[in-house]
Amino acid sequence: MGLLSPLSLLYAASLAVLIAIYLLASRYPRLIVSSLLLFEELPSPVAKRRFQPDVFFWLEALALGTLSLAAAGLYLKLRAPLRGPSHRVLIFDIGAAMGASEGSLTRLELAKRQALKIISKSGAGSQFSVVTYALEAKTVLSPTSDVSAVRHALRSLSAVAVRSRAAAFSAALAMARQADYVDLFSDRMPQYSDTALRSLRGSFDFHQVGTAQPNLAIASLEPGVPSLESGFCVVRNFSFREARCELRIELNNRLTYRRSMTLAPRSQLVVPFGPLTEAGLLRAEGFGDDALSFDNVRYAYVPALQGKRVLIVSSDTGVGEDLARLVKAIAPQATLHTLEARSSALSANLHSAEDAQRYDLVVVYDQVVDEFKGRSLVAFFPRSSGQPNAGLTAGRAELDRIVGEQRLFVPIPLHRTRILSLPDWMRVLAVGAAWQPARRIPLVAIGRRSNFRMGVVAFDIRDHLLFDPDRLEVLELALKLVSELLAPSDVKVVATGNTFTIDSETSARVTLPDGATVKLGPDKDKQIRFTPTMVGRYVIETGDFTQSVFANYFDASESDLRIERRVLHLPPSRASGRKRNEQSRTKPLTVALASLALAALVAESALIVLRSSKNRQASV
Amino acid sequence: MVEEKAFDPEFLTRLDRLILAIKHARAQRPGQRSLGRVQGAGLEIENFRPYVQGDDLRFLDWNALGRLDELIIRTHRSERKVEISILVDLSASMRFPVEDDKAGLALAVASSVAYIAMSENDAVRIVGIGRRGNRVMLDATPFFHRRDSYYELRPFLKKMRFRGETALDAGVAEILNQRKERGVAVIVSDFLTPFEQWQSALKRLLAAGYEVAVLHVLGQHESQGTYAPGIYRVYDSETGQMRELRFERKVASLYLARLHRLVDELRTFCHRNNIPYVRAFGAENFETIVTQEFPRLGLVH
Repeated sequence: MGLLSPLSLLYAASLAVLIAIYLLASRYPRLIVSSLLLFEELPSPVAKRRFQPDVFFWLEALALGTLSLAAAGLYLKLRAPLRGPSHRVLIFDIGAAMGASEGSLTRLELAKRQALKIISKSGAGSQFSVVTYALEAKTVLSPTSDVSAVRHALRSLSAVAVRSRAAAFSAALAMARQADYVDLFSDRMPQYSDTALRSLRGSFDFHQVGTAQPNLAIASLEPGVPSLESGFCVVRNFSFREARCELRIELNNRLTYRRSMTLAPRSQLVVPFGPLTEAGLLRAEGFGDDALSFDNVRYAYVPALQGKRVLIVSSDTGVGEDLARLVKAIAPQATLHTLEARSSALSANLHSAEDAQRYDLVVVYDQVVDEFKGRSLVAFFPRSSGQPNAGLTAGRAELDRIVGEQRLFVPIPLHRTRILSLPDWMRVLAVGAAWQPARRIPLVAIGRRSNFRMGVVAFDIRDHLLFDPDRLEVLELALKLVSELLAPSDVKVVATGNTFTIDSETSARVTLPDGATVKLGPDKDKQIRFTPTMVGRYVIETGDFTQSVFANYFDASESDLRIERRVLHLPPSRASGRKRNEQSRTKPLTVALASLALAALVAESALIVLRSSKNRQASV
Repeated sequence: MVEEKAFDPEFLTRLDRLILAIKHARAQRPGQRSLGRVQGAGLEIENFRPYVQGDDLRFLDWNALGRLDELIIRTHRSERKVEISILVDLSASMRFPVEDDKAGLALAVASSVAYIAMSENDAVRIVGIGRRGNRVMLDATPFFHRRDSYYELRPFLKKMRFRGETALDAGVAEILNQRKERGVAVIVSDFLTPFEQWQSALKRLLAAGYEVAVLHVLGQHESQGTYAPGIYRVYDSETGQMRELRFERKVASLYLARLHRLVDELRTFCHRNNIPYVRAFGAENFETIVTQEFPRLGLVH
């Protein structure tokens, strides 16, 4: 039994009006007297007033009540077995919050139990498919009537340390478009588009799982600068009661900081520590009573920048100073060397491997860099190398896209830009449009070959372009480039859900945080792309290179384990139980209720007539 | 409205022969007329007496000197009159029951007394005593002496509004405070107020040397307790206090007993203090009350 339009129950307020009318009618008449002095001998209270409704009241109340229920669309939900086989798609949210524990089970396991109940109640011959979504939508099980396969598929589901994305949900709905029934299992209703729901052929049911649970999360971990600047860790309490937490911070597997704290409800605490004594891997872990473990650990890497030697070679003094500022911002402890190059060719001694190897990073501006023999090089506005098209000046250009970012921005006009012919081991970070000749050109690229790493920026950075407040994207790209080249290549800290690439021509063996291994091959660009979905250390081994990747997870919305019960306002045709071959169907009671109201009114009229005729007879 | 009857010329003709029975209020001297004639500086000659040294020669009767050769001084009747204040209770209780027109009856009897009092050229005024919040309000006419002025009372009476709580005691105290001359006070009220209050008001007047008369006004239904049987939410017109009561024959006797006790208390007090007490119950009895009850009970003769 349910109500199609619960808001219409407001009509039931007419019952209150009816009661008020009866109360007014039965109220004693009002009499104003000169003084109660004359009435003080009279006993009081003489009668207890009571609301004594007569049969007319009950008949009118019945009529109003039934009409209100009819307006609210009271219906009976009739359970009936399926008349024929149907296709049911079970969509599971496997985002991080579904991994939250609910007693001895997780939310995902509760969802699985609900799904199993639905499967057991379904008619024989029904087909099921299982779709999951978090980072992306994935069909775990294609339509099958084999219930044991469905059970097996359900057992294999596990939550990932990634926020569920609305786009993934929409994709999952698209996969279920042809199903007769779509069941969504999640702890929260994702953002959905009406279009996606309208495209469903069958009915849609949302099964919300879970209850509100406490959660503590390490929201941020900043290591600071070793021996120079303190770091800090941000711990956040998402529950509505205070929570106790013990924070442990380890540097290179050695405990460096420990603190117990109590966090106020819905608050966060910034815990300072350090400065650290050395560089290395920093790991923070919070211990407390919470339901979600993904966000209890966080990694940060402290690069050993002390003693790093950076050489800046520039033919322009102003640009050289800008580049020095840039490097100092990233590596304040690095030792900086500058070389004013009068000619466009790199100094001869830099071309010798021995000299070049003395520097951890060489940053050059407007130089020919083909013969460079050092370890890392960033070349701004590089000159022609003699190869066809390489170094061809394109005049002015615009930066309009940063690869791998969804962000849209107004195209940024640049100064003179050179058209680069990039080697195949370089990866483009930003592209833009050249005006003359009109074509799309790479603007920023980075790459690694064996032990040599290189980054290029195609446009001129004169006139303090790097620090132009209207062109912050340019500074952002330059910082990214220099940071990546200064950072050790064998350790990386990333966020779960973000894809990172490794330049490799051979396949790689990836060891996951849980110990499992997977093999990944390079794509056509000779890059291995990988998206971590678990928190912890990933080890990626290629033929000649081993890289450790530490994945962190934190998402404020997903870590908040409140449960908001939401009423899903679906188009009528998508509401559960409105389709053919329904498992449960509704029977509106509008007509029956209206008939009852009518009967009540007729009965009242009959009674009035009867009474008046009796009165007339009596008077005669 | 019954107060209009008080200005009916035909009715007033019947009042012409009545005189207010005032016993002590006027100053009297032995051997003189009792109607308040006092030696004074009026125009009307009162008496003659032999001249004594120091007499004002302006009052020497030159004619008598010429004829009799005796120094005779003319004395004149004083212009001072008895001040008659008709005090009308303006409390809200005087308006209820509305169908009884108790307020109209009160104004009508007050006007009639004023008319009668004016027959002797006494100074007559009507004073309304009411209360607005905590303040006592006195609404008084000027003193009128002649019947020609009687109709000037009419607009004043029309403006009178009966509301608020009874303020007889405080009102009387205020009047005595304002005016030191003794006189006659006729109180027109329903006396539906605690015993102490009206008793205090009357005692104040007596103590101040006033000659007091009481006109006890009640409505017809009110005096007979003829409320239709049933359950009522009964509100006190002055305090707004409410009680739920059931009227029936059995309890009507309790009502009447209480009323009679109230009337008896007032009447007994009046008799003990030599105060004329006139019951004016029922507006329809107005003419009878004025023309028959007033003389019978000694208020007029």
